[in-house]
Amino acid sequence: MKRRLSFIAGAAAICGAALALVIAVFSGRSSSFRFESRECKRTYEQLYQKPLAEFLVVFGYKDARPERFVGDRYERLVFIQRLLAPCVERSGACGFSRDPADADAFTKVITGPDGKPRQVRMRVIGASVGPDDQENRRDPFQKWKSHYASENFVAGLRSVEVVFYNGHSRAGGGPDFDPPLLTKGNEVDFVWYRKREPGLNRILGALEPQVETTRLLGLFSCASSKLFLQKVQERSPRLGVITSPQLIYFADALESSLSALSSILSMQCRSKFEEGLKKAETQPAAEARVSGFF
Amino acid sequence: MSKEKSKSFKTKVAVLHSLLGTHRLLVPRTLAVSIGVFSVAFAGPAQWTDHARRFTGESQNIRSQAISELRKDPQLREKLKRALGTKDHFLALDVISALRMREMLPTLMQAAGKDPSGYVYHAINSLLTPADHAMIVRVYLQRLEKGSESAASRVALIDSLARLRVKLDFDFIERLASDHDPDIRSAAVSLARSQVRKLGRKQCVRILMNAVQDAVFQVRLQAIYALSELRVPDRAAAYEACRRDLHPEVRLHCEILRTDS
Repeated sequence: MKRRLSFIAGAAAICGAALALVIAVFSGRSSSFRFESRECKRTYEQLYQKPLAEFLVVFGYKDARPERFVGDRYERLVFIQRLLAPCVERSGACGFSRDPADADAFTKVITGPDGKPRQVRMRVIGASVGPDDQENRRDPFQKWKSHYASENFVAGLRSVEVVFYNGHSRAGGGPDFDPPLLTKGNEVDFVWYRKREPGLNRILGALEPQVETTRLLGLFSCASSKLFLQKVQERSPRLGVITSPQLIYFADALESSLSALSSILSMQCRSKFEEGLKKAETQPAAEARVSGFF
Repeated sequence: MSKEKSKSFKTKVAVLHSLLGTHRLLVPRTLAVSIGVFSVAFAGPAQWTDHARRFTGESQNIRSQAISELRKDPQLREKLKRALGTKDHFLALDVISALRMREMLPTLMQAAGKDPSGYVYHAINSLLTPADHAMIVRVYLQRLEKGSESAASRVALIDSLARLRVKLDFDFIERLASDHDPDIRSAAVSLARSQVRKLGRKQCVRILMNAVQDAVFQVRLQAIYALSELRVPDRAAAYEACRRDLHPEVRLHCEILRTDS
């Protein structure tokens, strides 16, 4: 009788433990995301602390001297196509819906780090009005387009969670949203850009030392690690920054920015985040790096 | 520095660049050299992709050198064909354009239909001569009418037609201007603007006027700017529509439409 009772008690204990485990696992799955580390979890809890997370991707004016071709308008379209594509066999930068009243705005609902839904609103803004640099310089709408891209970029550094710039570095004078200043020989006046650093100064002027809203700034432009990273981190030590250590081919910059975006939306921790950036580029050792985010 | 020394320095820099595999150099060469100098030790024999990366942002000298290296490759055409649609797709297109490989046109015409980025059309455009214009306009119009290509490709096609300065059917432009995709509508507004400004087709002003009522504010503003360049009576009506616009960014620019401005 005693053996029987102890058998029943043992079986009941095992069943109870199993049930508790099942409840714990399933409740865990439904209410929170699994992170590799506490730091990673905290990063995403901060990023998605509000019900609405705002992202901004601004393409700079991408002239391609010595050709007249300007490419950012097309790159933006490729980027948007990926955002609007259904999420088949991948997650993150896909499955967005477009705002019917604002061609630059896209939304998607994701699951936040606490298992609750978050709305992501992303704006994707281009800088050029057409594919021909000479024509653009004569088009009055170009002035508005450049101004609008620049103003949104600067405002975004104060008000949205994630800001990406994909464009020219202009030898340290970028980010740049305007047709470039040219020398008499019709080349980009790098001396002027290097001396004045107009784009970098705009970033530094917009950043607050104690970042409240913006958590991550992606600078997908040539040698942005060398040209911008230190000054940005000095100005805003709590800001995460993605930069490129080398010269970056336009298609690689595009893939890197999409990969980083996917990682943020699917809350990847450092190793997978960096793995994604590495896979996105075709040139060895050119991959973008993420600093101060995790 | 003497001329010889200067030339020798330039040659060394050129050699260094050829070893670095730098590409789309959008910073000055001195900086590029300093960034890439540590990569020299790891550089292997140059592939066609290494040369292709030197086309943009580089000096004419480096670019010419890369082109002449590529011309030496007897297998280049086959390599480029194989690269289309792969991770080296864009580099292959850069090479085809830079080397003006017109013999690749049939391959590109085929590849364009499968390329959602629309960049194959940019490569095709770079190879055209005036003798091709009639044929290319016919093909581009067919592809746009078919409507099966990606938005990026369709914008590339519309932009190409705008740049070819060919008179297009009004109904065709109007259909593009009422497409469901705002980027197509925006490209159609640019096309209508170029038809009015470059070909004097006043009837296309109507397309610009309709665009002042577009669903997205960016297209409305684009149409307002386009109308502001034209001395047409419709500007007054556009001004009134602009003042009633729901978007503050649009209303901010109505003054450019004032006929007395």
